[in-house]
Amino acid sequence: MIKEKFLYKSPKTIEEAIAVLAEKKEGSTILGGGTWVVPEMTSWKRNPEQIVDLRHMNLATVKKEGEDFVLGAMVTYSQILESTSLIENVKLLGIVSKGITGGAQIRNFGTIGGSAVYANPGSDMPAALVTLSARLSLVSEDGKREVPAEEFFLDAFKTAIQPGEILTEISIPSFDSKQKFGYYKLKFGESSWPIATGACLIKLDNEDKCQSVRLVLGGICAAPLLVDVTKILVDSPITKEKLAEVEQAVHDAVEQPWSDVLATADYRKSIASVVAKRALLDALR
Amino acid sequence: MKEQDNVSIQLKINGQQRTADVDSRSLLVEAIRDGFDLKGTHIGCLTGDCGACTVIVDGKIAKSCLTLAVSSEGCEITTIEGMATGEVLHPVQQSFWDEYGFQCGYCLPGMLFSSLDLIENNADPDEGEIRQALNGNLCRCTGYQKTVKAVAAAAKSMSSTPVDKMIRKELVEKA
Repeated sequence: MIKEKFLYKSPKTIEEAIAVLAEKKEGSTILGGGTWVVPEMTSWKRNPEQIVDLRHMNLATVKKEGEDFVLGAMVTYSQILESTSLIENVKLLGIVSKGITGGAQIRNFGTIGGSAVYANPGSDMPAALVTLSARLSLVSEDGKREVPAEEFFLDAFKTAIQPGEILTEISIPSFDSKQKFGYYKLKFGESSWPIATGACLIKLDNEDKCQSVRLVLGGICAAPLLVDVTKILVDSPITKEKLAEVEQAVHDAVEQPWSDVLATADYRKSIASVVAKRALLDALR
Repeated sequence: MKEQDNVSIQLKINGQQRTADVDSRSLLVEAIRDGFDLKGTHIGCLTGDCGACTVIVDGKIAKSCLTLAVSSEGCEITTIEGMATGEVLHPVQQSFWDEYGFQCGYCLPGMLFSSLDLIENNADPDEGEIRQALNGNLCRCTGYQKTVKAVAAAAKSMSSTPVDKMIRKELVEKA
């Protein structure tokens, strides 16, 4: 049983949601799929005055708008896996969604928006959104703004979202057929949380030279870590020497490694380059 | 704990439209157990890890400790009590029984519903697929070996011909 009483609001429209949120900006918690918020309330870690439930707001659709896929904040991992055209193009989203910890029950209820807003270093989705150059739409009584994923994740459990704002949509660019996706997740057991994730986007030209590359690590630092390896790899073939350079660059980029119950900061610092290399090699498979 | 503040919750639960008064702070699992008096759905971890509170909500398997009761108003829910048809066990339940797929039974809501969810989407799962499908459920008795065997047997039994199923039903009825 949840300890404290709370007001429960279930708005039907965005306008209504903004209005109820504006009434209690500081004391409100937005409820998405519930997989984070509800257990935090059960264990008394979170005692909101008001719950604003997004379940009835029709935010669970996947649309194609121009070159972008636009996912409502309430789209679940299961819905991502059912959106064939989405995961055929943005393969990384399918890989990540399939491997979410907690089984089908969590994939059916956990949402892309909730995972973004919670910004848990040990969650797959924040780093995946940075890798994909996603953009997050936030609405409030002051209007709408769009924040690139790179600027959205500020720290562990801390994002650019302000009190009174609601994440409504996440836009993800589509990719051409030459785009390769790689992913590597390090975890202790089938049902345990990831210690670190590595995601890589790479494109090669007809001579197998790197055209573009994007490499992001999750769980290594408090926020997703984008390591710029374009200078090392672009315009050259991927050789052993180049891989060693990438590993060194990743190692050097880890300044303040994250520490939690699963692994120490030192351990994360020491595995970062390996996780990155495995993600890169997975993309080149 | 503050004074109780009841709300009325209406659900279609195991095929029946029902209403119950529950504390407004109740989780769905608490409403199911205490409001609707269906004790087969278990409370384990309350963190979403163990799966003992699994039910079907609007056609999708869910951990009912991760949902507020007030948020489930109007939903269609199947609990483990709704799995069998009268005295006849569901083929998944029968296979868990036949293969000793459980010991204490506390994890069964999650194990049975996850198995059913798998088999409905994949009629002939291999061992890896079975283990993957069960990974949201913790069992502290079996070590999972017999659970995996039970799911494989259930898949086989569910893909058998309707005639086989009729024979099975007759056998159960005789027994």
